[in-house]
Amino acid sequence: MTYLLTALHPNVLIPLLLSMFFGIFVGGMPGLTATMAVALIIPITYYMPPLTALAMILGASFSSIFAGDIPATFLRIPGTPASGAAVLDGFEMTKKGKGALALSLDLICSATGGIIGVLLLILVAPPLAKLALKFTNYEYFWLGIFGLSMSAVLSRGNLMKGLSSALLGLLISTIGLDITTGYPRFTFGTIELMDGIGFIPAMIGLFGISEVLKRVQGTEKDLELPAINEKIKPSLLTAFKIMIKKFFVVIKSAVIGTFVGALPGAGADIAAWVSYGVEKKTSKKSDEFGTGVVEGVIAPTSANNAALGGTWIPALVFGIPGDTITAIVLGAMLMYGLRPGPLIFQENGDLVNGLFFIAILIQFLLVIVGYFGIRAYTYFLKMKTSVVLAAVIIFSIIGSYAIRNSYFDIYIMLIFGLIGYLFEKIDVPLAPMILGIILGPMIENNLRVGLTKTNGSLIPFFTRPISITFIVLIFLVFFSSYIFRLLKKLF
Amino acid sequence: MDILNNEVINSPPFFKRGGLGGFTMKVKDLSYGIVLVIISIFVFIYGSNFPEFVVRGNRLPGPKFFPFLISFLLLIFGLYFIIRSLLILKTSKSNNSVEKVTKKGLVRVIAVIIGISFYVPLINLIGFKIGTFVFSTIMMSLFGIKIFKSMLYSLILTIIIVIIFEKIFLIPFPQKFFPF
Repeated sequence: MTYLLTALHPNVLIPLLLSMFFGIFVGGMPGLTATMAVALIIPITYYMPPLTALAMILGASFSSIFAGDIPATFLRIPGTPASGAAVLDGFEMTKKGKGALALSLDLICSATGGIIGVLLLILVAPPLAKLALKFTNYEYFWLGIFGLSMSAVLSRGNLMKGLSSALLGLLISTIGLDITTGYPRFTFGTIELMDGIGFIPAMIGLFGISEVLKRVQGTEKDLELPAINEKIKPSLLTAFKIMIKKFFVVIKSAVIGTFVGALPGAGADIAAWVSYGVEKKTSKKSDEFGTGVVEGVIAPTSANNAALGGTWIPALVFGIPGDTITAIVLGAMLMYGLRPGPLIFQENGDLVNGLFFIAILIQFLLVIVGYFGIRAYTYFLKMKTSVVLAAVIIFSIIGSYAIRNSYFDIYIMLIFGLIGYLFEKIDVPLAPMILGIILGPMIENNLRVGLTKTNGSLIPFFTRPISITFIVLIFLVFFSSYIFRLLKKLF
Repeated sequence: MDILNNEVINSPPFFKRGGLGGFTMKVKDLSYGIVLVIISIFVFIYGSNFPEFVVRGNRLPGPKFFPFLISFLLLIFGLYFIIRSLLILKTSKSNNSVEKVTKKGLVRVIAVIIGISFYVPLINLIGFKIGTFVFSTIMMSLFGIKIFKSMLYSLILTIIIVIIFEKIFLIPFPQKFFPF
């Protein structure tokens, strides 16, 4: 019981609430990620007791992941990478004048998904983490291919264009120093390209600047943002009723999100894409996905917050980061004098239990903080659209710059903005390209290491049980609609 | 100025009927296919200079292995789009045909691109605060807000940005005239 009392003490609760508002603010700003929110909060937590410090980190990460969905829904700019999938139907709902409902649903599902994720973290952490530990290069390779296949399949329109977009993303990911040999690839003698293409500037360009260009290309009327025409008031009760009706989607997505999040390197962004893809593939109205259906909002938003619970599984139990946020957290835990690993449950049992309790508490607080976050955010959107567009350009520029304090990243953002603008003109989906950029290093490294281990033999890639499982899943991703149709005909 | 009229551009065939939005699927696929082929050929040529990765006499997958693999696949995709567009005789309209590019819109698109390109030299020349204010005023005016209102909104926006990024996040920007 002591951990319950400690967790509810104002010394923990007040910093926790402040960190959540901070997370809402940072996550809601295009270009500032949940990882950045956590990284910025670490120095503040250094002088605090470990439970307060970890509570603040948890609060900032959960709230910023949700807040990333706010610009994703209203402006088609994912505030964080984990909000990429939320853009698809969330923004379409906004275009139909249902932006507030989309975000309310997003908030309720994020909190519910978060609760499910944390409960799974508490209940099934050890077996899941053990499974993830069994993964070798071959399984990670197929996991990357699986994620990429999902994004290509779920992109609207031509599958071939989706796949080629993913391949372009993979090619872009090869820019920079080769991780094995250190040889600079496609850097053209530029020092800034040695670290590769900055993912955040590329994403801001592809989703933010291209959207601005698309808006300004038409008549004066086209300059209007759809969200401004709507009275933006979160309707939590309506959202709650919708969520109850679609509760199975929430549970399914949260479970997938937690599982994917528990796989090291996968994180909330892939969890959101995979859940969205699974929901689209299994839904009766899969053709309507991407046009503003509620399931398209529920699936990724339940999954990305649930994934945060999942990322803590390997981090806490085995000291292996599930994503970039938990990578920072592990460093911070060492700083607080804590040693992540199986012994932490024995040595710091009260702390871990307190942390679990706080993680559940955060989900309830998220509804309150998120509600005010949405309300506050709408003041920004109630401004004249032209002002908002100019502000979006400036925030995109500064957001791109702020990641590495690099002017070069501003130009990267502009180039990707142009690519995004032109690609949309020729009906090439952008999401697979983004995922290709994220998964590129993981796919390449595991492919190369796997081949090196076997002197070039591909056999282990196709013979290991978990690899075979992923291959079957990939096969199902591509052919599930045909299989379902065939089964329907047969039965 | 005629170029600023809100009429759909109709002079060059490229923009015919709804500008880029009216671009037919056949031409789109052909252009995309050609771009993919050019990219893959470029990677093959540029990447051929990448060194081999040999450890104790064993030739292992080196820096060029993955880009070449991807480029090979891109080449196949590129050829697929080219052949498909050449084989399809009937042209069909794209999904985006409703999104029209107006003359004034095109000017705005080009101005935004040029504006962002010149933002960095601008803030290096006159400092982050004044540079952001000037850039913001130009963008807002370009989007149809009257100059005085643009200046007022830009002033508020600049103050917010300075407080958030310079004062709270302590991100370093060129100062020039305002060293505070």
